[in-house]
Amino acid sequence: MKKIKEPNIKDLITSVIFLCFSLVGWFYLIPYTIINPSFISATGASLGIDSRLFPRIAMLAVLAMSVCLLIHFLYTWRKYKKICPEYDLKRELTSLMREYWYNDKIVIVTAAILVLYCILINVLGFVISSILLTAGINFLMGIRNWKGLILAPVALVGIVYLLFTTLLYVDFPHGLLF
Amino acid sequence: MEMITTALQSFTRIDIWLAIIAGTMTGITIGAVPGLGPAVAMALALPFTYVFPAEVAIPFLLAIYSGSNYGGSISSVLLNIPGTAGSVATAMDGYPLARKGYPNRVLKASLYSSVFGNTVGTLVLILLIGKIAQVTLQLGPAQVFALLCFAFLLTCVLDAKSSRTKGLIAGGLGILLAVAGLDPITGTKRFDFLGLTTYGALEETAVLVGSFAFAEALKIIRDYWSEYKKGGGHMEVIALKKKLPDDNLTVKEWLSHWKLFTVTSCIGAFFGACPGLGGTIAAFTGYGYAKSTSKNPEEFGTGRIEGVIGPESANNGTFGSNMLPFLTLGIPGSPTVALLGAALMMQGISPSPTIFAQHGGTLYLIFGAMILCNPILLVVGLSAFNKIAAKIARVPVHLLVGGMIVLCCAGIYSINNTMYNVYVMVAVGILCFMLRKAKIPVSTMIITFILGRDIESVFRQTLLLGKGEAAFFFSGTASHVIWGFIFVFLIYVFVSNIVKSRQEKAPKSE
Repeated sequence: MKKIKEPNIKDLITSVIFLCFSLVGWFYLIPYTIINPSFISATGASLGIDSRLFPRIAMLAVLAMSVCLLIHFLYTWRKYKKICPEYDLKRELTSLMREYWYNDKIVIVTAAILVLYCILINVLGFVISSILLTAGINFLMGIRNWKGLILAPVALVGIVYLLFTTLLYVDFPHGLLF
Repeated sequence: MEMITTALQSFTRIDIWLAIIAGTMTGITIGAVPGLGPAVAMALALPFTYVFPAEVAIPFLLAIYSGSNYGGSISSVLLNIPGTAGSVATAMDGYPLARKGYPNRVLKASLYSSVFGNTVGTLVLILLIGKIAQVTLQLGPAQVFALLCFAFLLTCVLDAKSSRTKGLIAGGLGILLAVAGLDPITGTKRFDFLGLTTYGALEETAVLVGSFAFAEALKIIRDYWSEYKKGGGHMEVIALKKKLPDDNLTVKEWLSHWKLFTVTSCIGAFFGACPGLGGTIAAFTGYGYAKSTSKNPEEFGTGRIEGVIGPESANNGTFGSNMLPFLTLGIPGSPTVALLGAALMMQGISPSPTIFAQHGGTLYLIFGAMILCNPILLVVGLSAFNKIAAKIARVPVHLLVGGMIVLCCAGIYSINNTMYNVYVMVAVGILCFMLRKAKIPVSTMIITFILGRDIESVFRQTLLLGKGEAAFFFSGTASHVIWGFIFVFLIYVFVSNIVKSRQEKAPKSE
């Protein structure tokens, strides 16, 4: 009996994401965001110094490795399918996505809160927006009492604010309220 | 001799003593928090250091590093939750032994071995750095480029935890992060979306703090949420209160393993000096050595004290020696060295072969402080602080996460009073969280991010000197030797891949 590993469905997702990223990078990001890249020396020679060279090498490495990862997945999947015909890629993918959604939606919400925090900090200032951020994260983590939602964020941000303004003389962004 | 006198001056400075004591206590406390390791501890402390002079700031970070390495063994041993990959090897025998009723014995073995390993690593650094700096002074840009390429390959390929393909993806991403911003030679804007190039390039500290501390905070939120939905996680904490009368390890008992901790510390020092290897591989090699030289190898994994001494000495042997390639060539061997490098650069000390000519005095003061870290770690570790740290480490998760996020934001903002760095940190933190989910090694990405700028600038320097001729990259005997090593290494990678895939395909031997 040959030992065949079950295909890692996460590799499929990773390879497809990085394949798309590197193709977009190669055909769009590099040509359109790195303009007039060549260095011309005093003698008029370019000497091969080009601002696009390293980004291209890096993008190529990502592209090549994503293709390798994808090929490896497809090879393992094909082999595994022979010994385990009931293995259904679509079902496995759906179940992984469901698991991600179940466990990781908190991170998506946290990321959204962080983006909001980055925007609000210029409007409300560091102190108020940081208190709101900490209280929001505590709420997300299931804290429902006033100590966790008001006292802890105010104390935490207060300590950090005092530490940085008195010890490190940092001038935090001010907003409408503070 | 003059340099040694300078190093010894650090012993007389009260500010350095205070920085090391504070750093050790902070390190032990943060390291003892389950899941947090030296990189997170240093990333959180990094923004505070730039207001202090280099000879105080760097010892503070080094003390945090050594303290959190030891603190990590508290959570490994008492909770079976290693803070770093290197502590996994310690937990393999440390946790079973602690469960048997010997937590103090394990922690003492870990402490003595950590201190010994740290001392060996530091001595290797002090004894070898001058010689290595002299050798690297002889190297031209073509040879340095070859060395940087070798370091890049080692970093991408030798990560113990992930596949080589994913290591190379991480390497590519690191280079992409490194080149974003204004091109230093042509002045061309690269990846100029969202006004990135207004600030030159990505701030190293923002990327480092985002990738370690911030991404870790997101992971804690995610893990807590999963446990919370399941009805709350339960962690069995082993009390440090003595249960058994022989729950202790005397120095004499520890010294009876002198051969083990001496060899494994030297293994650690060697692995630390090689970019791409580092503490994790050293710790597992140390564990393997302890097992292979033991009279009872079959008992490993059930709670052997050698299974704690071996990996701890090896893991801590990398302390100091891992700074060798960074200080002389700018090659960071591990994420913690990358963080130290960021702190050094914030102080205006850039790693290069001429570093001793420019900052020799400051560097030897730092080396002196590194030696001082060890007795202080020993005293703090033996004091009641262990128990206090273990208690502080059990801070409610929501306070820990809130504190980490606010501290990261405030610290990164304070670097040059701009919100832009905070945006970069948040974006990198989210990216690194996703990369971890995909099992792409974030530490490789960060090391190649630091290496990337040097590789590009040295590559261009070589092109300019060689007037655009590709053959100039292979000029000189040193270049031939290094490219030869790269060639041999690539063959090794290729062959080992074939052997590995054949082993996987081989029929099971029943």
